[in-house]
Amino acid sequence: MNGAQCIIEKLTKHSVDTIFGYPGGCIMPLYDALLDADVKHVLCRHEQAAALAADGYARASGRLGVCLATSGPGATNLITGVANAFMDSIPMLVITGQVPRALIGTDAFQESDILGMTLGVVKHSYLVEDANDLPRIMDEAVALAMSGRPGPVWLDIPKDVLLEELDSTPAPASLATESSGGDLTDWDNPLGQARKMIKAAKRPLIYSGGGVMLAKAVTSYRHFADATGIPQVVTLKGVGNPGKRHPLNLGMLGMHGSRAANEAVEQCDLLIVIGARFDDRATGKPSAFAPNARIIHIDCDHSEIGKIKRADCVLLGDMREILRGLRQPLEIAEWREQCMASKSRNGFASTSNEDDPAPIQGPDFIATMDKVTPPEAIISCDVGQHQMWVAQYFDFNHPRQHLSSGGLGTMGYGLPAAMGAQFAKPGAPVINVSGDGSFMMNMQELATIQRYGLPIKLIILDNQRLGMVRQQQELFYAGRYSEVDLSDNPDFSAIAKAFGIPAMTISKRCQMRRSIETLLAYPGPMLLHVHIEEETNVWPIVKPGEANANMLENAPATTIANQQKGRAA
Amino acid sequence: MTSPRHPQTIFECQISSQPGALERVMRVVRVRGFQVEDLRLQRLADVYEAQLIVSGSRPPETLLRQLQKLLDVKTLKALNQPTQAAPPELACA
Ligand SMILES: Cc1ncc(C[n+]2csc(CCOP(=O)(O)OP(=O)(O)O)c2C)c(N)n1
Ligand SMILES: [Mg+2]
Repeated sequence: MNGAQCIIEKLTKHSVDTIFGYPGGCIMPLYDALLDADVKHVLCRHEQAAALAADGYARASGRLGVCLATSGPGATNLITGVANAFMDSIPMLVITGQVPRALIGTDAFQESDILGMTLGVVKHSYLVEDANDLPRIMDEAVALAMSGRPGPVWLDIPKDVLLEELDSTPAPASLATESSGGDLTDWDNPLGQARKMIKAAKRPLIYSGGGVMLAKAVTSYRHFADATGIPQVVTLKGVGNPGKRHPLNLGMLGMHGSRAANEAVEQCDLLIVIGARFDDRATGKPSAFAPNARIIHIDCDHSEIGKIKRADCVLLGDMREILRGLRQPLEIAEWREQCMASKSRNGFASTSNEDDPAPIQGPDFIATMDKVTPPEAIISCDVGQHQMWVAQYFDFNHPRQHLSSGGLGTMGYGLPAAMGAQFAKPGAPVINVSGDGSFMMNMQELATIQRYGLPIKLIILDNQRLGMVRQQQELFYAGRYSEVDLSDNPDFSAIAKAFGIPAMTISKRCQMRRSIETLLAYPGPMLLHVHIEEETNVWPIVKPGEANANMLENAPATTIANQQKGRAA
Repeated sequence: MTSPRHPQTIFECQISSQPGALERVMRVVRVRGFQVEDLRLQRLADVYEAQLIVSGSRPPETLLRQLQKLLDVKTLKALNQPTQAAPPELACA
């Protein structure tokens, strides 16, 4: 058995059945071994898309995503996708070929120091120098990627190591895993302390994030939230934690959060942080975040504790057990009602009239999609205004159904992520919501969708702008628009058709429902090109670095200028 | 240049001698906002024994935790008690 065959054997042993990649010189021994393997290899059309597809696969399923590429440009092309997985703590195994050992350090053809280049975007990485280390390293890498706070682990393997025969008795495996939590003993019975804090609170609030699904704790989370009846706000990655149509879900908080959510954070006297990390998009100015609250922080990563905000009580470890230990009924009826009333006034609700021939606004389209789409659908999206509208106006049943690039904000994420999700969940409806800018960052993948017959529904919300950047230029750069015009967009329907994918185009509100129904009913892939109003903004918005209390609301430009001036004074 | 106002923390650690291990440690120190004041190390079998002195305005406790997360850091302790200062006001982009 050579190194390449050993990798295949280990992938099979770890129940990896689908991998995403692109071949080339130094990884060819592995592609050769793949011919005799049971593992399904998906040929993407760009390595970035292969990494993002592996991310979508992992995110939708909770399983390990695997991608591979050759040395040099293949490996560097992967980096954005791996950084994306790193920022959102997605378990991933990345395998790249490297030039043969003797050539490393000679500036050989397609040599790049990928280990050095990627140190900041991996949980761990290996340069494999001996084929006999591969069995141990493969086991270790898979365990590391999946355990504790998950993340990408990168294996860089010289071509001659892939070809090298292993000795018949490989060294025994020593498994490195990240223990999924710190030692609870160095805190004074924090669970009891937390229970008391929760009991004593008059206005407790849950602020939950992507850590809930990563800890596979969605069910325990819901039991806790429902047993206590505590109102909830969620981060972008926590969207879906409460479950569909939960009356106490006040929606997303932060820069594009609902007024109801941000005000609840402002008013609460106890903030229970569950699998979230006080990201600046969620907190705004940290010193002004939850100014009246004591904080309980529940996580598995001790390096997140106290990083941005000091916690009064820290619960590190298995989130499911912690949440089980915190369940208790509470007498906070008044606070609950206050939150629900605030939600009905200041939550996200669309007022769209679907019979209207008027132009489509982004939020209306997403709200209509929410009504028409079956509850098991997986929605991926790209980055920009449309991404925020998806998080605001689509009510998700489960966080694994919402594939959104959170930490890195990677334009071009949606299409490959949707492919990964469709491979992970072949029976589920998968819809990608893109912007006209983002779509073009990975649209070569239409070829992959077509080749594998993936029945993905592709929606482009086309405002002929880099809308999110345009919005910030309007609001924070005095309307000085710089390089945000995309009015010369290509004909997206014609592009889809060139790949053999049927397409429709709409531009009026009254066409929304029918077109989404047609899309969902179609058995194969289909593209829906939606012309939307060009200058619709995402509301509310908090200026980067500002306190969340200073949300700007939808208003004429002059009022907004005054809102901002008032604050500067 | 380090301003003398920033408190120094002395770490004693064992770092694996795997490719990239030392770079990983140095990278975390830099990215998390600390400067190296002094670094001594010696290779013993498959680990480096190191003493690392860093300075910075952020709480050293957070650096300690970030370094402990590295698989290549086998053991790590702060010789002077890292202060549990309140997290700093971070600038937002
Ligand atoms: C790869 C990448 N480049 C640049 C950006 C910065 N950026 C964030 S949103 C945005 C505009 C996105 O435009 P579009 O996809 O049309 O979405 P819209 O905001 O119009 O809905 C840009 C350029 C980014 N997030 N990712
Ligand atoms: Mg756009």
